[in-house]
Amino acid sequence: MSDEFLYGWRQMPRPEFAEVLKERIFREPPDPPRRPHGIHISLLTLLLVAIIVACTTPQIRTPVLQATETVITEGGKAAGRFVRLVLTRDGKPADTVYVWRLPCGEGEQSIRFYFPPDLNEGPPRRVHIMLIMPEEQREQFFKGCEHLLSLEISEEELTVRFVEVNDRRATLIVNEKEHNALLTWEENGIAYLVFGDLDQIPREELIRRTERILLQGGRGDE
Amino acid sequence: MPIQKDSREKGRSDGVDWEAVYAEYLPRVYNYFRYLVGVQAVAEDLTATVFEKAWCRRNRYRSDVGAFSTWLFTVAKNVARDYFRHRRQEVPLEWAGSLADPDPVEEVVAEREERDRLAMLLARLPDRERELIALKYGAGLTNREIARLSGLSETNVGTILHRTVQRLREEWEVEDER
Repeated sequence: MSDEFLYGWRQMPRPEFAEVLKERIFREPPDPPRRPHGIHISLLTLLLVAIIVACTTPQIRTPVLQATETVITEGGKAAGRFVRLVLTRDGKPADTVYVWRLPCGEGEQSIRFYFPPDLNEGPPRRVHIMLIMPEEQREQFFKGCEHLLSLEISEEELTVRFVEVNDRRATLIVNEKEHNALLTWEENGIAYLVFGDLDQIPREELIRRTERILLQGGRGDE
Repeated sequence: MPIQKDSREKGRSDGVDWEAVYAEYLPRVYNYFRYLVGVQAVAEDLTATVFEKAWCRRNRYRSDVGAFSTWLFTVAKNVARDYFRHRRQEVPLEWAGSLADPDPVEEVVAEREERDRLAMLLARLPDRERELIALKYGAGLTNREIARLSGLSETNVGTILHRTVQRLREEWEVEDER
């Protein structure tokens, strides 16, 4: 069995299928002309300003979400990272989400399971763990331990990056499937959260604009 | 490679010539699914889904972020994943149907039997290996493009593909001996 043999199994699609599909797809009219880019930027800037103002106004400044990051080390090296997000409802802690990111290794390597260090604190409760890892590792990992995780999100759909906003460590969670991003960081016990539609604004621009707004507008009552 | 239709349309996917995209990528996406699921009718359905989704989301493609093929096959991979999530229990029976169809020409029958046997061997592969074979031989992607799509290193893609072809070869010979 050669490469030629494997390539040789290819076939052209049936002409009827190709024609019908083409007609069906391209029948849809093109998108309406988009508004000038500047209008989108202005609208988004207004939205971001509104969010920041809402977050920094004392009477509304209630934590809606807290984010802390823990790096687990082993032998002096970072072996895993957790971002612990505490979601609150009516001012009270509601759900805890651990975003667990594994280093993307190469090859078929064994995967160590690390529990978030504060998982055993407090009464027994259900936690959500978002597992960020390459799909092939996930398949290997899930054998026999599916019950440990109540939520899984594949590497393709969600990525977590640590960025800086005004010299603060911030977490940028990008949902590739829905094409949006959530930027969150913590200052003085208050968590800030900015949500952006990546169809409207690239992720790097989201960070830059957030920084600019904060620098121009100050930091509330700090 | 999609052609820039009009320089005024540059930016995002507006600059992609969809006629050219359709002509170039329809056979590649279709064969990706043929190698993956082994059933022509299903391959056609999944191909249609990919192009419908890509067309609807065409404004999301940005040439400055990645190659068009990577974007389109990411859509295809997601469609395949959804399919396997919901249809995992179904057994492809295309080869059974083709064998039941008598053909008087011996060469044609022999060729069909070879194809059926290959379909059967592909169906037996683990998901990841079958996916890589489909991307390589069905979609005609390079190892580098597959690496970008799968999150594996290029070397790793080459190693897994080599091992998988070796395995197919051995199983083919076992079938020969029967």
